Amino acid sequence: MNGSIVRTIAVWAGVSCVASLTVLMPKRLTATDPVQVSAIAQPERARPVLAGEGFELSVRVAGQATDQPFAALKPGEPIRLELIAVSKASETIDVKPLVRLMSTSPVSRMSRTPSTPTEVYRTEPTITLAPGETRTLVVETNTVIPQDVQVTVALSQGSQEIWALGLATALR
Amino acid sequence: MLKLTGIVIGVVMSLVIVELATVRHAPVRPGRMISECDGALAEVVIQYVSDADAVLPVYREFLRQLPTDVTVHVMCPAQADYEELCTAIGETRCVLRSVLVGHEMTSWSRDRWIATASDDPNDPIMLAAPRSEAGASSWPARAGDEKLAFDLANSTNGAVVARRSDLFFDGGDLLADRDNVFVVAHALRKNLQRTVESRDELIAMLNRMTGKRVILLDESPEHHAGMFMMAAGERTMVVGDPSLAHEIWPRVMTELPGGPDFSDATQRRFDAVASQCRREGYRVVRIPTVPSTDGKTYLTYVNVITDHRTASAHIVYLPVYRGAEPLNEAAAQVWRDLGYEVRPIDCTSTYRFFGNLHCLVNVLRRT
Repeated sequence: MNGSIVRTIAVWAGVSCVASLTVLMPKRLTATDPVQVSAIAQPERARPVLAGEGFELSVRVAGQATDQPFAALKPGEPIRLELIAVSKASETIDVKPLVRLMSTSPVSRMSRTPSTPTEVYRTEPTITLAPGETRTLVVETNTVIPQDVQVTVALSQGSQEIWALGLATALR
Repeated sequence: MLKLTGIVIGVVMSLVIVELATVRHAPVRPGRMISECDGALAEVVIQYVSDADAVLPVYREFLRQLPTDVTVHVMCPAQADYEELCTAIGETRCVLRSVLVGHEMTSWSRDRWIATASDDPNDPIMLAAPRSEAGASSWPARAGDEKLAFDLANSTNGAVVARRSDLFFDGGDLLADRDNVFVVAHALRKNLQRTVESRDELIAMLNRMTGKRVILLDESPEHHAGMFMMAAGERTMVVGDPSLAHEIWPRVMTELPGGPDFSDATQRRFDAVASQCRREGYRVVRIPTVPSTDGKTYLTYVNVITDHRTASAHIVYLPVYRGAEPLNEAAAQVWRDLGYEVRPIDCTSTYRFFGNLHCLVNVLRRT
């Protein structure tokens, strides 16, 4: 068998192998491929909602139009929030949610977990809603978020509490 | 003729390649979360970063006692970290295997993932990593922790696979025995209206993730499960009890930040866990535990690793603390009464960092 014969067979074998692999190879090549399996199937809910009797309540940083559950703040900037209350009732209702800011301080880099969140601000506003009305209430907390501190905005009504918004000064 | 021969050879080669790839990466059958208290330790995972001096005494005492048939996957940022650990540990009988990841990380393995295994020992172990790590946005090492389940999987040539859960949790929020998985109360708060609509939906998703019946605790201390409860097999749950420690506390010479928390409110949370376990048909055994007023620093004796070598040989690697000898002894007696051989592990250097032995060591496989 001379060299040209071997070369011809090798070239056609290579071409047909690549062509066959293109058709036959499963789309998911490796079960541990981070690109394939680290994807989150369900997106996080945009702007978590506290659903109460006849109303829905959510919160965002005042002036930030996005509905992301996390928001970045500048160090030293006081936290201003917007409470968005939506009536689902057929009559006028008063909503009295508890709004709390829970701060998690930096801990030693050796620590297993962040510190226990401590309450740094709370307010319990009354929001009166006509049937079907949507109202936005600005909450001036006058609370400043230092560098490397994370703050969670907790909304609660009765025994139901949600972590509605996360705030930090250094988002990736 | 030559072209046809080449084409046939090429097609055969492609079929062989596809077959090899398919066999190696067969779909993973659903598994069940690995129990804390069933079977002998076979593979465990620890993490180490240079200068994390506090964890070295714990690793040294624990790893030196592990038998020859245990493999320890040591996850480190780089070879230098691994070598530093090996030098500090000295000789071991167990097998150490380095997994070098090339990025920042912490030294706490427990919270990074939970492991599930099918009944077929040839199937890969499945790791479920949380949706994200708390604090990752401003804590680079924690951001690195988010990748570790996938780093581990990618180092095992298909023996371990990893996927990211839709849920927010720490691995330490879940604690499994043979039949059930207990989940801390605040797991609901982490997910409600963020990933799930309701408590029932969370339980259903946890059930799918763990392959076991899920018991979501109604009320529990604001910490990981392994800080206040531990499964001991045969439907027995060891639950922390601050009141038992309160009696002994005057004889203890150990400091806690802010002092011990023997308040009624804290006691009620521990008691609530015990009550719920009893309602689920568990025999509950209480053990002294000292939570501190910072809510995170515990002198705990349930943060253990158990090793059921045989049906009769049960070993517990038990955290102990210098200066707390009366507590250490009272706790050891509880485990001895349960039939365990107690092997103390000095965790004096780590408890101030909110975790101990169980928090540092994750279990990948039991046999």
